[in-house]
Amino acid sequence: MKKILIVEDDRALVQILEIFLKSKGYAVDKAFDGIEAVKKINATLPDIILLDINLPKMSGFEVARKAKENEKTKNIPIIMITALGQDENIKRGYEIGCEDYIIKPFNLEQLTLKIAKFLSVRS
Amino acid sequence: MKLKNYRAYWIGCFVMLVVTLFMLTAVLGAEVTEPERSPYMVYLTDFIEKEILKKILFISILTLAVISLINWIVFILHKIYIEKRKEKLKILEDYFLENVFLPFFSTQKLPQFQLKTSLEFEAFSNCINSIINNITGNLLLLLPELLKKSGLIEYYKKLSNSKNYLIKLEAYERLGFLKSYELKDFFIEKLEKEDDYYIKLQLLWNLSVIADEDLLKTIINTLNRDFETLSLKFVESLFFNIINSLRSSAKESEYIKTLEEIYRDTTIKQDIIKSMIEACGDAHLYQAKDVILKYYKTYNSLKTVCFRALGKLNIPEVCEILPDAFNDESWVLRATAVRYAYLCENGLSILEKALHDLNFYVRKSAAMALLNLGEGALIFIQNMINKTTDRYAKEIAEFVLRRILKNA
Repeated sequence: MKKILIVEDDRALVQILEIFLKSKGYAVDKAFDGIEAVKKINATLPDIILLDINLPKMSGFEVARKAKENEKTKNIPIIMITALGQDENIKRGYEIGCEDYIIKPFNLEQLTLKIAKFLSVRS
Repeated sequence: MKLKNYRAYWIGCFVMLVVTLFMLTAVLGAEVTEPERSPYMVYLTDFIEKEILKKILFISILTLAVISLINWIVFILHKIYIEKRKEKLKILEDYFLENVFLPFFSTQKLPQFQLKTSLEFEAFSNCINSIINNITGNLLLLLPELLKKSGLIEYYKKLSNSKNYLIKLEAYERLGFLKSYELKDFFIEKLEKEDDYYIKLQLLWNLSVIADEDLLKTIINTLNRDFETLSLKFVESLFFNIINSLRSSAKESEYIKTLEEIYRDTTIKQDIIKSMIEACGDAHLYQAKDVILKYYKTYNSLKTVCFRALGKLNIPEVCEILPDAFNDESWVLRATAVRYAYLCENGLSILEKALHDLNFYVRKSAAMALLNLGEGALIFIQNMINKTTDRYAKEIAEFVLRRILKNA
């Protein structure tokens, strides 16, 4: 079963994503702040990361940078979750090495398609 | 209760007690020596006995100490109350998500629940806000049924009549987050009756997220009529919301039509027009490029904002006006123009000139634009450093070179 790590501080969104992605057959792990995210990425080596940019304790960019600098985790695809009208975030995310982005509010079906695309490329 | 959360309070309390004790000991133990009397001074001891005066001083310090102590205790209790409330809210949010929202979304059968306390309404409202702000698609079509069953709208409508300003503002804020078009008339009615500046702004925000072509005009007229001073950033966010709301019903052209209509209307405040134009850039409203160009060519005072909006749209038309903007006497416009020079073929020559500009901010803007070009600008910068005799241009080019090499 493919493992997805959701990094997001909005508990409601995490819960909805968790239920939705589990219904699609994925295993889901979650982190609510940047530091917890880095620990979980290194410990569990997820197949894909859904990463919010505005996180407590450590920003999403920092989390992505740490993941991409680590030999073990650098190939894990990262999909950034960002708000509408924050083009700078997208640009910066790509510079760090994030693979894709999704803008809030987003469609769950479209998100699943993106996840499936990256996972099929990876496998 | 975590002790570390209250450390600052306890330390403050302790310091205050020590200071009070010190002062009291000083007052009680002080041996007052009579100062040399001056004929020009009036002394308290002429009217009140020394011992009584000492007692008054003692009681005053003690009273102040007791008041401060009570203050500190109230602070701590309040902090504990807030933290406990936050915890309860989190528990309730999780409960509603697990037992109401998620079962409803998966089975589409309305679960049995009833909201009673203010905390329950708050938690339920937080869950709905989170879903509305983060997710689109079919899921949202189910929300009206849940809203109806919860009685959330009625509850906050009732609270919006409160005499307490904060309760009222929060009620409007929560109603606004629902982005429900059915609340349109309610908000308009309240906007007409309301006098408070901030509540009016909140009502405008609420209308902006559900805006249609009529509401766009209502918002512009209200902003123009009722507000002497406006925060440009706030008004820009209103128009950004309006564009997105119109876009969701494929009516963005109404926004452009309105921009066209007010083109020669001198009664509309320029700050409103500026915000409208700026919002086009932020919301990537490409269809607005012609009308923005028209504004650019007509109004000098709007040139900077027009250029920035066109730059954010990332369109080649920027290059048509780049030389004009770069040669303008306003350094603000020059600095803005330079930032988007990379969109044009002659961008590098403009950036080269900009590095020699007499204004520091224009040179800085050029440096930032070169940084954005990254390694692609390396040869250009190296040539610049080698051939220029302008000390400032050389310094800034060297700065850019260092930054690019560091990032590489």
